[in-house]
Amino acid sequence: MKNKSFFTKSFYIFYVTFILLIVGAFYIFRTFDNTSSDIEKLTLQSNIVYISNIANNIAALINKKTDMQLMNTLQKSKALRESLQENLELFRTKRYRYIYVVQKIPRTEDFRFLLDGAKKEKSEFLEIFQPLNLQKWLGVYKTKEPCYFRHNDIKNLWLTYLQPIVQHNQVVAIIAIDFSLHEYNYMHHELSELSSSVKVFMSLLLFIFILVLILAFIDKKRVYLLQKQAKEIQHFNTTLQNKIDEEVEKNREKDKKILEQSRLAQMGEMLGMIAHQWRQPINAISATSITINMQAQMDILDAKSAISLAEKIEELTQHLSKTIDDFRDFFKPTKEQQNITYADLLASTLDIVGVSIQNKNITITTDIKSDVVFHTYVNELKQVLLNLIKNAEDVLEEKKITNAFIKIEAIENRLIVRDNGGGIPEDIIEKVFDPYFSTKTLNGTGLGLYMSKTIIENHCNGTLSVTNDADGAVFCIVLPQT
Amino acid sequence: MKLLFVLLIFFISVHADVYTQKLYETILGSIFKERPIPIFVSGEAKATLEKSTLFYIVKNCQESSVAVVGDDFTPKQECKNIPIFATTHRSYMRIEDAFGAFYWRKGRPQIYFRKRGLKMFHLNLPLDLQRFIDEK
Repeated sequence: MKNKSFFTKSFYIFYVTFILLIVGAFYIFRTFDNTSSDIEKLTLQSNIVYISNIANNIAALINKKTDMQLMNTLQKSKALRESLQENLELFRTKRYRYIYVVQKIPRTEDFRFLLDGAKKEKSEFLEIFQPLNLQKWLGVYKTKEPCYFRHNDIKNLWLTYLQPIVQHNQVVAIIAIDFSLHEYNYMHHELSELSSSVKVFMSLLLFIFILVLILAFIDKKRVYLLQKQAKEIQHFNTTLQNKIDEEVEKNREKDKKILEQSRLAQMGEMLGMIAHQWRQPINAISATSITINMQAQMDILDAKSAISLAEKIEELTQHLSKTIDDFRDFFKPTKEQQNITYADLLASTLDIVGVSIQNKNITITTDIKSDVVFHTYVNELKQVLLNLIKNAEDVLEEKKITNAFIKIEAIENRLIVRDNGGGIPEDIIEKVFDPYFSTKTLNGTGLGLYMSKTIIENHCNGTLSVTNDADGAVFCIVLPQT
Repeated sequence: MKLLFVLLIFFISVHADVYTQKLYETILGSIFKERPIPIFVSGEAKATLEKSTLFYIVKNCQESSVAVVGDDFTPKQECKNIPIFATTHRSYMRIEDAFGAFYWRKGRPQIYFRKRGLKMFHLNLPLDLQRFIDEK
């Protein structure tokens, strides 16, 4: 915040300074332009005043010499003409190139020479003359006032000054002086060049100012965006924890849902297994009951036989009850960790599922090379093993494999379940632990392996992996040793 | 700076020469319809006119359509039937049969035509040149 205010302060100081500089530069330029224009005007004016004085003197001289009778006197006296022309020649310099006196020919727009101050190519007395800018010349006759004008057709090099000679309140002739504007033009040229340089400098200054303005604007925008992004990040950080909590809660809900689905699936399997386990004792109870009935009808049921048959029925019902208890214990989640070896785990699992598998002509072999005692959630671990065995059974049954086998090995802390079902295709082997992923064509929920991995890795702190060997799939459980 | 001024004067003098040539072309080109116009030239105008493609300079006055003459020209018998155009005020005044003149005076072009000369040689002036006719 401190940096921001410092930046703003320096930023505005810079701008104010720059604007003052620009305004100052413009003021200097304006002053220079006005001064330069004044110098030009004054120079021209001083030239005009000087020329005007010369012309006035010439006019006064002519009036004096001709005794206010210009035309008559000059016509009569060639000597006077020559004398006046010599006087005109005296004023002629490089700067005042032509000095001559002309008179308008009545009823025409032409003039005629009366006096000529030129040394060479002197005009003759009364020689006809067609001036340029005729209206200016005629204007002098009309207004009786002197005037001057530039010759635009020869690059403004010359200026003509016209002074009327007034006698008896009438313009009787015009003194024309053509003088060079070379020095004036030189000064004008130099001032113009200086003015152009100042203009270029001003343009450059203005360009730099605009450039700086644009860059500053871009920078300001960038800073604004950065601040906006920083605010967004800050806001995001504050809401991130909430989002994480929300997502975790969603995940928990999802896991809970999956667990419920998994339990329902397991329940279905359990019912199937109970039904299978109960089939034989129920048949036996039924057969015993039929025997009792038949012996009673044939009147050969004695007390001894009845007691024996009743005991058999009782024994069978006890077996049914025990089966129920076994299954209930098996699927009941354990709240506390217990000690178990792979041998015990395998024995209790095969008690439940072994007969069912063997009835399907699948050979189960075990190879126990481990006496490691694990401190873990026993029932969950049994469920995982049961799930792996049942998966192998389903594959072998589905593919109708001859000489089907399931081999379970326990080596140190590893428990390996392998079968000869042909294995899992390599393109899907990475996905078999994903939820709702199943290769079974019938009754596959896609939750068994996902739940197994979750139990082993999240609850039991072990690992569950799968590979293929020459015969089929190989699932490996690795548990941490206590 | 002096050099610049000299160069400027040179430029203007060259430019003025071209300007003079253009004026000759405009004046004589609008009066005489042949192309190129055979002209007899005497005096300083020769240098200017020989650069023009509109004119063809002939040595004898009789072969020309117009004689453009300066102060050095003396009217001859063989040129009597040729229209004469003066290039100085003096020659224009001296040769009374000259139908016109063009020369510079005080840096200004001077163009004049004589009614008598134009009539004598049946020459017609375009409208924009008629204002230069000397009524005398």
